[in-house]
Amino acid sequence: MHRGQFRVRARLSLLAAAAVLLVGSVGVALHHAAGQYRLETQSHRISVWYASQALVELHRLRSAMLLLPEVEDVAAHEQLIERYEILLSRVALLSPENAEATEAVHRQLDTVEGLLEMLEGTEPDLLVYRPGDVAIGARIRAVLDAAEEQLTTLNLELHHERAAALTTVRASASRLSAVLLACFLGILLSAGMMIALLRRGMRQAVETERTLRVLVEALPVAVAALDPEGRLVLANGAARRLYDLPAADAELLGRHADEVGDLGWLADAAAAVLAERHPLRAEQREVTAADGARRTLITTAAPVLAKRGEVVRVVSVGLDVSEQREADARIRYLAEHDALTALPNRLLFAERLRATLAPGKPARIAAVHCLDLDDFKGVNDSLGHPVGDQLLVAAAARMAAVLREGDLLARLGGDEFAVIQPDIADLEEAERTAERLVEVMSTPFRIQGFTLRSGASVGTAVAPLHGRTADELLQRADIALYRAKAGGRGRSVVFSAEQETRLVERRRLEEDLHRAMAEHQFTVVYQPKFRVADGAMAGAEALLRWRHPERGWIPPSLFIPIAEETGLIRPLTRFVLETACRQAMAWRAEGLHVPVAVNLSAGEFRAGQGVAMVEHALTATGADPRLLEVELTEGIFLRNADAAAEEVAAMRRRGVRVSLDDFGTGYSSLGYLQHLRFDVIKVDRQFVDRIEEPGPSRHIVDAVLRLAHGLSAMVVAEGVETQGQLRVLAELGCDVAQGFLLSRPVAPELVAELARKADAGARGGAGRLPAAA
Amino acid sequence: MLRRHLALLPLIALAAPALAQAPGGREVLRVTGRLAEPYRAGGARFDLAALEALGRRELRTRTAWTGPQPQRFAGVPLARVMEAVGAEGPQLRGVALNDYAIRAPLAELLRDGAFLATRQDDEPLRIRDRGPVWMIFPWSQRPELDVATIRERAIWQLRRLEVG
Repeated sequence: MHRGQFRVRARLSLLAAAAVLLVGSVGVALHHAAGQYRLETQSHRISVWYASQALVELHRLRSAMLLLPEVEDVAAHEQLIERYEILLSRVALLSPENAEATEAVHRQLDTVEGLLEMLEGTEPDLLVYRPGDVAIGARIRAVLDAAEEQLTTLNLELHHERAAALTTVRASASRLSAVLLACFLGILLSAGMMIALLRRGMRQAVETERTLRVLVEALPVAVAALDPEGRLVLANGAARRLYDLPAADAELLGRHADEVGDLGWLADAAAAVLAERHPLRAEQREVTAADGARRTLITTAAPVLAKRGEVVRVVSVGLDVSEQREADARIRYLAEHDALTALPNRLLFAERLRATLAPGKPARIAAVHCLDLDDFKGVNDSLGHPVGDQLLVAAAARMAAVLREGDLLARLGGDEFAVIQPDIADLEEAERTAERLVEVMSTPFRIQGFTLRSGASVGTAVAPLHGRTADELLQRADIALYRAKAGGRGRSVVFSAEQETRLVERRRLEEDLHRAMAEHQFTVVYQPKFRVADGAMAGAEALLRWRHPERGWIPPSLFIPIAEETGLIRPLTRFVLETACRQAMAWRAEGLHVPVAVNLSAGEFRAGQGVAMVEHALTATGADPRLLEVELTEGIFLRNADAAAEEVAAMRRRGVRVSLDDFGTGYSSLGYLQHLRFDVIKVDRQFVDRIEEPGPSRHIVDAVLRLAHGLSAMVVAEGVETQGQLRVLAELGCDVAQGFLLSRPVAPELVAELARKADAGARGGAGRLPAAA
Repeated sequence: MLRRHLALLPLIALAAPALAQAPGGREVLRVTGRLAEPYRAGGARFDLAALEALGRRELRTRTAWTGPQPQRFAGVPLARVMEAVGAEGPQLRGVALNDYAIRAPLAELLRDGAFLATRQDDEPLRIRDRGPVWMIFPWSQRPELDVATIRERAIWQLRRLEVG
């Protein structure tokens, strides 16, 4: 008896100690949860959002300015002032007055104050502004430009801060889950044991029982126990609060669970435990607590078994995880949104698009726009990522400002954006939105002192016309976007079936092109050029030819653009360069002097690869540089003129001749001719075409000849097809001619033959060019 | 619970006949949706005077956006406005000037003492100060309201209330 009593006491003290520990750990867990929630709320909320909002409002103000009609319109002007006021309120939110403002905002205090001051300073201008007032308009726009620049800078700073906080939050979230799980299991175990002990009726341990009751009562976890008939025998304070149960024992204990409050689920759980005799799996459920708030609980129930194995009690516990769930929701928000622009990311976009197109929804028209910033890569590469990031933020704000409530703008990644318009009247509405997007992006951005003309291309597809599934629609909007970009950027294009056919065709050609490289389907042919004065062969232009195994000869106009886009142009150019160099050396070995000209694509120059490739070809073939001429187009000066000029100079230093192709057909100015020497200038066939009749073409060729000769360059006329053209060229003093009249592009053996003939003619002094070969 | 007040309506409509028509001053708030007659069709429109005529009160409270010190606001309790227009719906949607919108159960907003502030230190709230109408809550009096959900319901530059 004595020993038995001692054992019971020891067990009870252990149990009590365990319970105290558990209460402690639950406290820790809840403290964690609360801390996590605070951290999380503070981190993501808000400042980034406010800064983005301010940008959006800034663009709405701009739009309101643009929309102001020429005629006096009080309502429109009030709208403008309203936009201005809203913008002020948004900027003011970025101050420390706002309890939600974060560290970064405090650090940027001067910026925000300066921004406010600047914006407030423009108020007098705005109040009197009318669309005709050019000077006032310019002043306002200058202020808005500066404000936009500062806001994007601020936004970026906030973004970095949030990204850092996000990392912390994620780490603490996973730690928290582990802590909660451990506590939860412990609580379940101890509650069961306590009740089992109490049930044994240890009257000699009344004190201990009271202690335990206090403990259970004090647990921040809902604990309830039922007898096998489903009557409540115990409910602690947390249970009464969370389940909204009567506080008085008289109204509660001894009642069936489904008679009091909203505890049907508990009665069901008890029945399930009685039937299966083992603990239920934890479940999440929503309850309405006594204070009316909806709370999220994790609940489970377990049987208390007597010695004989029958169930004497069912214990249920419920852990309030509402805060944790809220934090989860926030973390999900972070996972579904792009950290830089705070826009929905690809994940959420796809989900929304699927939901929008879900079958069973009332039939309506939805549009998807895919949008790419033109030349974003250029900005990123040349000005650095910070500027690129700011451009993205500013672009997102502009786009958001032209969309309606209910439209979804997402950043899919990089400079790709997309818009869902879930409910539109017709295709025209989608087109109008696409045009608005292009238009709003066509205004230059002022970022960190740079003026960026980015522009955007938009591709649009509409459901159900162009597809019914999210994948279909997105893919087709993407095809339309591709067309928009190919058509010269800064435009919007709506999908059509014909685009898809063309794209499929292109893709096939692209695949074939890759195989063609591997299977040596390419050959090089040569179109000879002849001196106009005496008919001697002046050289030959190397031209790439592709013989497709099934489709025969594919014109270069079809495959060169694809090669340029896919990067295959580089190995192809290398192939032509080396083949041509070897050929020129082979001709020299036969005693013939036929320099070869090879076209270099503007892309090679942009990448700064031109010189390296030429050098490589010369080294690999051991060719004499004087036998090589490279043909470039004016396009190389469009981007980085200085770098291109340096490359041209480097080639000429190496002894390679440089020829300017398609002269006069590009967009560039003659300015670059001041600093740059070319050996040859090639007159485009479009001028040669009509040279026989007196008129502009002849004057242009005449002018080019004088210009070129003045710069000590030779002139080659391309596309010479008639004797008449040749005669006029001779009269004007053209140096060299090339064209079908003289020779088509031919195999190397034929070139040798023609060269010998022409040389013989020239030596004979006949001064006559050969007839077509 | 609101239905109980419907009996008062004709009286109120008489007392503030400007409600249903375009107000004399600039309209600051429009209430639409499931309202009692005569507002059911066209909604109720308020200029500042008409809104405050429903029963101007003061509310001293701090807010998360105006620093740590309590501020002196004046305006009309949301309950008063809902009563005046005979709101019937369980939900309330608030739309701001810039189309930002919130949606909340009307009963919860009333329980939490939602207040439509129109003035701060007796001066009408300008748009730049989150006016002309800002829905606030008695945060200083009831600290338990200082939670994210309630803060998010504190819509400023409130332009439209839709009951339904």
